[in-house]
Amino acid sequence: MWKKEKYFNGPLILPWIIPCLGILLWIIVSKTEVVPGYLLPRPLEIGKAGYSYIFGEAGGGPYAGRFLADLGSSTVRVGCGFALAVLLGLPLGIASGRLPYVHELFSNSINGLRAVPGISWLPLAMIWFGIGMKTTVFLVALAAFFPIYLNSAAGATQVNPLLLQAGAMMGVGRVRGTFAILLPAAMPHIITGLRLGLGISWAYLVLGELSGVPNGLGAIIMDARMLGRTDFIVVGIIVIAVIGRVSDRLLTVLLRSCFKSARRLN
Amino acid sequence: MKTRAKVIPLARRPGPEDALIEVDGVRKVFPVGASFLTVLDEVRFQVSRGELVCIIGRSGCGKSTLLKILAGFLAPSAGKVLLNGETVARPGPDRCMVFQEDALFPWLTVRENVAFGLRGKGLSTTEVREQVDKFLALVGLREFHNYLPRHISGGMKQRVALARVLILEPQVLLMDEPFAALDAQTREEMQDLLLTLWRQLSHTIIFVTHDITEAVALADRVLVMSTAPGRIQQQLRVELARPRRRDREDFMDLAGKLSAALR
Repeated sequence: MWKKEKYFNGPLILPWIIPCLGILLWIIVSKTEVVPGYLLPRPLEIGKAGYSYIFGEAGGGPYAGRFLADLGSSTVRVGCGFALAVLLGLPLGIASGRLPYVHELFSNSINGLRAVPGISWLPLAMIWFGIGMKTTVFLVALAAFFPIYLNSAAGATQVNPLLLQAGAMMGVGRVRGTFAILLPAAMPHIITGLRLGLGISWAYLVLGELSGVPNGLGAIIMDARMLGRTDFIVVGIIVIAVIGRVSDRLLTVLLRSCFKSARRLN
Repeated sequence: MKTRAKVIPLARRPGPEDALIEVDGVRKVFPVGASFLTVLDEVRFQVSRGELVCIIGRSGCGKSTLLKILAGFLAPSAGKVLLNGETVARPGPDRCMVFQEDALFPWLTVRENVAFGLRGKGLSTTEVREQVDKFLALVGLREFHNYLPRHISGGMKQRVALARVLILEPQVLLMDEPFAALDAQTREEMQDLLLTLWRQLSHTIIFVTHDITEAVALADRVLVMSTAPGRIQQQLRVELARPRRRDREDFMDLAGKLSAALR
C-alpha cells in the first residue's frame, strides 16, 4: 500500500531511535563521571540489577528473582482497578453522551472530582482500606475512571445522528442500536479513553504500592530507595515503562481482534 | 339456495385513487429564539401505490423537513401523515430513507451494510447471503461487496444506500436529494438506475430535489413547494413517455414550466 515501505522500513526503526539515543546519552554522561554513581547508576549496573531482578535465583542478592511475583501482583491490582473503571466509566460515559439529563446529573460532580489530584486520595484510601490491595485497586479505579468516562461521553456525543436515524428507519430498536451502531461509531474515542485509562492505571499502581506493600513493581522502587539502591529504582522505572507500553499494545490488539469497528475505523 | 351476500369490508374508507400515503394538513413550526418560524403550513397531498412523486422547491422551503416528518424522524406540529390509513408516529422499515449525505456504517463492508437491516429477522445465513447478493447485483456492486465505504466513490455509496433499504422491501422509498452531491454524469446514471429498479420492484417513491431536470426525468407527478411557509403550490403531472430523453423539446418545455413555477 505504502510504496516507500519497501526501501525505508520507517515503522520498524523510528520508534527505537529515541530510546537508543537516550541510552547512548546515558552511557556518555556516566563515562564522563559528571554525575556521581549513586545519583545516576551506570547502564551496566542497571543491566546487572535488572538481570538479577528478572532472572536471578531467589536469595542470590537483593530483589533477585522477584520479578515474576511482583509483576503478577501488580498486574492483578491494575487489572482489578482498570476493570472496575471500565465497568463504571464506559456505560456512564456513553449514557451521559447521549442523554442530556444523565449528563446534567453527573457533570458537576465528575468534573469537580476530576480536578482533585489522585495523590490526595491516598491518605483517605489508607484509612478506609488499609495498606495493600484494596487501596491500590481503589486508586487505580479512581484514576482510570475519568479518561474512560470523558472519552466515551465525547465519542457518544459526536456520533453522526444520521447513523442512528438510519438504524431507526431500518427497524433497529434501542438495545441493538446501542450495541450495533452507537458503540461502534464511538469506538475511536472509546479506544482513546481505554488507552489513557490503562496508562494512568500503571501510574497510580505505583502510588498505591508506594504506601508500603511488601510486593509489586511500585513496592520495590520505594523499598530500594530506603536501602539506597538507586540501581533498583531505575530498574523499577524501566520495567514499568516497558510493561506500560506492552499492556497498551496488548489492549489495542485485543480490541482490534474483538471489534470490527476497532479494526476498520481510523 | 340463498343468494350469497357480498361482504364489503368496512375497515377503511377508500380515499381518492386509493392513496397509500395521505399527508393531511401538516404544519411544522420551529421555535426560533422568542418567536416561531412556520416551516410547513397546511401541506396536503396524496401518493398512490406505485407512484413516483417528486417534490421540488428552493432550498429552505421545508422539503427536507416534510420528508423527515414522512419518515417519522420529526413529529408534525399539526396535521398528520397516514400510511395505509394508519398514522405515522415513528421511523420504521416500511418507510425507508436514502439520505443526501453518506449515512452508511463506516465500520461495515458494503455487504455488511446491505445485510444490516436483515439481522434479527430470523433468516438463515444462507438466506441473508442470497438476498444480499441479489440486491448487490441489482445496484451493480457485486464485485465491491468486501469494500469499506471509505474506499468506494460517492455514487457507489448511494448505490449501497439504495440496496440496504430496498432489501427491506419498504412500502415507500423516501429520497432526500440523494444524488445532489454527485457529478452530473453519475447523477444521470443513478437516475436511470433508480427508474430501472422502480420498474422491477414497483415501489412507491417520494423524491425530494431542487433539480428541475431530475424531477422531470423521474416523476409521474411533480409537487412544487413555495417558500416561507412551505406549501404545495402547484401540482404537475408528467405525461412524457419513458425512457425520457433530456434533450427533447417536450422535456425542456416542461422543465421551463416548472422553472417558472418555482420563481
